[in-house]
Amino acid sequence: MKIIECDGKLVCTLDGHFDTLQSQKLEDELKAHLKAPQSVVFEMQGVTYVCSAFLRVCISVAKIVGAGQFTLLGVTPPIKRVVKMAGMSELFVCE
Amino acid sequence: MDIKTTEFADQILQRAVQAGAVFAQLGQAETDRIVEAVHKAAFNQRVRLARMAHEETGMGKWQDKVLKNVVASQLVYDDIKDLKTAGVVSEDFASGITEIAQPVGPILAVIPVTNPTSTVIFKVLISLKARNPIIVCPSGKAKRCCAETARICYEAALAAGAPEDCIQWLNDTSREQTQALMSHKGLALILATGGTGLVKTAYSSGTPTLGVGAGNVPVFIDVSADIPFAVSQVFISKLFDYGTICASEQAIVVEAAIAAAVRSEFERQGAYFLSPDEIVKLEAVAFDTVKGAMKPDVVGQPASLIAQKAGIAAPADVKILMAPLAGVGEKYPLSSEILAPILAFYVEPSFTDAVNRCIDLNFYGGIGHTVSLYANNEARITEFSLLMNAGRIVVNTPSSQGGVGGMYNRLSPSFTLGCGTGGKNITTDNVTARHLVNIQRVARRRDNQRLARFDAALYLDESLDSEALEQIFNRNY
Repeated sequence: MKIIECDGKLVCTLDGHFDTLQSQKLEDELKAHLKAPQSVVFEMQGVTYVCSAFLRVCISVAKIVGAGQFTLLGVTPPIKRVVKMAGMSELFVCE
Repeated sequence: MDIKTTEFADQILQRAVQAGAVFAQLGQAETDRIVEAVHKAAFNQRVRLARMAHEETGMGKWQDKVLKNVVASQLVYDDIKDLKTAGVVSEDFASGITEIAQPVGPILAVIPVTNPTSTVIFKVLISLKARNPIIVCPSGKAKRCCAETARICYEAALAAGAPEDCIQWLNDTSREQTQALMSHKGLALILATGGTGLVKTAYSSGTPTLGVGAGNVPVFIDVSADIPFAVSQVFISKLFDYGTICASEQAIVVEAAIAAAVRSEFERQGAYFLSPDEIVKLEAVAFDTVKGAMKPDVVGQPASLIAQKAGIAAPADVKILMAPLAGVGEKYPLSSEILAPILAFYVEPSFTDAVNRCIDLNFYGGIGHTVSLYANNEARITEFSLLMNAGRIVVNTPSSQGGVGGMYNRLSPSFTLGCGTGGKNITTDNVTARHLVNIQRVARRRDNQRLARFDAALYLDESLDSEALEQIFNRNY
């Protein structure tokens, strides 16, 4: 997990298996960096699994920064399917 | 609800309930004779009924409606004729279970304007096969051809020994009358094929309903596909009755590596690629942004006529209008379902992106329905299929005919395509006669050995876990 701030945008590069522990770490890291209003991008190319705690982190980020300001980028089809099935594709951009 | 409406529903259902009671006395052989007679009568009138449907609705092509009538009569009959639907249908000594098929009872058949005569034939055949009386409730725009189809089937059924009133049909029913029928206590089941609103009304009636969901069929043409073949199959499907089947293709998705080849093959076979300005013009005539749905006047119309309406200078012999789009959703009206020879076209950088685009389309108004894939790479076929939410994933097959079944695959031929819970349906199956029986199970005594030769008091001992109990159970005596 790598988080950098660039031109007011928070870019989090994520990879691997996002279980409860990893999601908690992400949430803690975000708390330290996140300030609304701010664009947030999760780079998702390397993510192979997401648990419900990760989805909760996404909802919480979308609520803080606003739907149009939060993007999941480079999602693989299995993760895209999870987002669609969870009915969360309206909450943030997922591409 | 006024008295007249209640009386109307009572009269129809009273006749249907009585017909059902008489019908339940018939055995398999008598039932099969009726179904055979009805299928022959409908088949023999296939051309006249198709012409009537075309003249009355102004949709599609009469020649293709003939083929639809053939599927609904001949192919459906071939599929159901050997099915056991009356009395004892299976017996298994080992399990001690005997299955008995009973009719569900009176069925209300909602008929769409897009496939009127074929859907009547289909629903009549599957209902009669299961010994159920049927009430045909057609779209107001197709009531004459539906009434004539029902009449032909009814006369043939009566002549073959079916009970009086086993088929009834409605002419001019108001919304209130339809609702009264749907919620009538005598009605057993609704076969609801039609628009989302009507299907929802059926589900809300409290009567069990086999409904359908809307489609929005993406077609992924993989790099491993035979491109000229794939494109030719899309034409066969999308031009079939000018795209009125809900399993017809709505969008083509390709990887950039083969985009030029696919595009040029589409052009060679008669497609016209629209410019951004032309896409805006087409959106205006094809899509109602207020209702968020296709406009009825383009449904089942030829591409040349639609282009003319939109003021698009496409060649006079254009067969399909192709709209290159950058996204899916409200901003892109042509990414929605449109039952006409119009296709969205997406070029994606990689396989992953292409599959993601198909997921977007699948979840944008087409959950649970049908998706289509052209590929000769088995691993990709499996990967793609696992990620889609569709009752039918048709491979290297025209999706209209592939979804309906019976022509290019061994799916049950059907004009009611279940979309599973994603489409708010109870099944993903192609609905047919086997869905219209209640199965009663006679369960003869066969003691469960886990309990029969085991001291059940041991379950009360909290110190024994599942492994310990398993060991005791498996001990040799």
